[in-house]
Amino acid sequence: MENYEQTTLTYKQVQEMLCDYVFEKLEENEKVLFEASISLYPELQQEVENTRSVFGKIKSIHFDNIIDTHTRNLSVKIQNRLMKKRTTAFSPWNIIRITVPVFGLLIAAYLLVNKIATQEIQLKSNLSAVEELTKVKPVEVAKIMDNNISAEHAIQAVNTIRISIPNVRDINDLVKNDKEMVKAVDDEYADFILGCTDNPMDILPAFVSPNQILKDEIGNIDENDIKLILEELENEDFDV
Amino acid sequence: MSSLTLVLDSDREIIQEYTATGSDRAATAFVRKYQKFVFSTALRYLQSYDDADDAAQEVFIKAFKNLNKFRGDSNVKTWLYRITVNICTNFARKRKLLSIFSHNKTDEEIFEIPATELLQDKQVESREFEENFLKLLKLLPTKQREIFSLRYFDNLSYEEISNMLGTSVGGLKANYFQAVQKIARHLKN
Repeated sequence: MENYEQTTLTYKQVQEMLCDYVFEKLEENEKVLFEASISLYPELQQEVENTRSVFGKIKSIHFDNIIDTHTRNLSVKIQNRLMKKRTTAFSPWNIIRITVPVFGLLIAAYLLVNKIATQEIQLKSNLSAVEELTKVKPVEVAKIMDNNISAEHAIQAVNTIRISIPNVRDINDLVKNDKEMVKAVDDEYADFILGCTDNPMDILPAFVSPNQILKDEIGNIDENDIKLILEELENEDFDV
Repeated sequence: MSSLTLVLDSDREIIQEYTATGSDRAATAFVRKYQKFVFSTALRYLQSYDDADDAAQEVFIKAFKNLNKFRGDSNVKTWLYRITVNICTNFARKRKLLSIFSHNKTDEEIFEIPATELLQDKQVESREFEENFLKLLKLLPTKQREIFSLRYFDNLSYEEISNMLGTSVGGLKANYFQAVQKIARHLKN
């Protein structure tokens, strides 16, 4: 409580002390000072009477007894819970209950990360294939087509493209919705490869089916080339 | 410390013994010393004896778990009050959430009936009055209700209440007066 050095209290001070006065929570010197000052404020005097009469009824209720009734076994309940916690902390069931979901989560996380990584690699590879294709095509292919460079250079150029694009399915996957582009890719590479190299079978499988090429281009192949192919076939041992 | 008859009185003794040995005796002494304060605070927040009982158990279990971290910077009551308010807030939130999904009678209601039957007439009457009084307290703004309860029921000093609620002593006194006036007005009507 504050030290009130004056002989009488202000209205606000009396008001602040009023409840404690009614509930008998003031110290003796504060009580004397309060009683000396309250007569100055009849309004507050009336408030003291009102509060006293109403709270007299509340005072008669034994709140402590009611709370006691409800808290009688609290310490026992808490002891039991603490004991239970101690005994169950390392039980096999608790260990299983924790480890199984943890393992499950770890496996799920691994699979998810793995899937994302695979997709990312695939995407990167596809992107780089497209990038390489667009980069190589205008420079190398145009040279081959326009300047009539040697077959060795053509093979080298096409191999560069083939390394960039892992297989023909990748290109088709990328452009599967654009049939014109697929056709352009097939036509452009197949035509110039056949025209530029003596040994097209080495490089064509990277792009299109050899049977398809043979079927499509059989009429355009030079007689000497057919002879060469036949000679090659004669020299090959086939496992039938 | 070995004698079973030794009464652990001061907070420091209780805390020291519990943190050093985890003894049941220290735990019991601690609970008995503060059970009324914790339970009545929980009851004000949750308005249900069973919920207040559960919350009080949670409060003490959490307090025991963290008792070694208690450095005595604040009063034990202030510390327990904060834990109680936090737990009761979570309890109330969970209860609200559960009430959305379930319209069935809860365990609380089932257990409430025999508890009432066991009471004597006089106890029932005072319990009813107390319940009405609790409802009346609920009508007060939380801050006024807490200030009134902590001062009127728990006999805490204004300084202690100020630490618990983070309100100035002057503000507390004004709120206390207003709360008492409101209660008096309602009870008179």
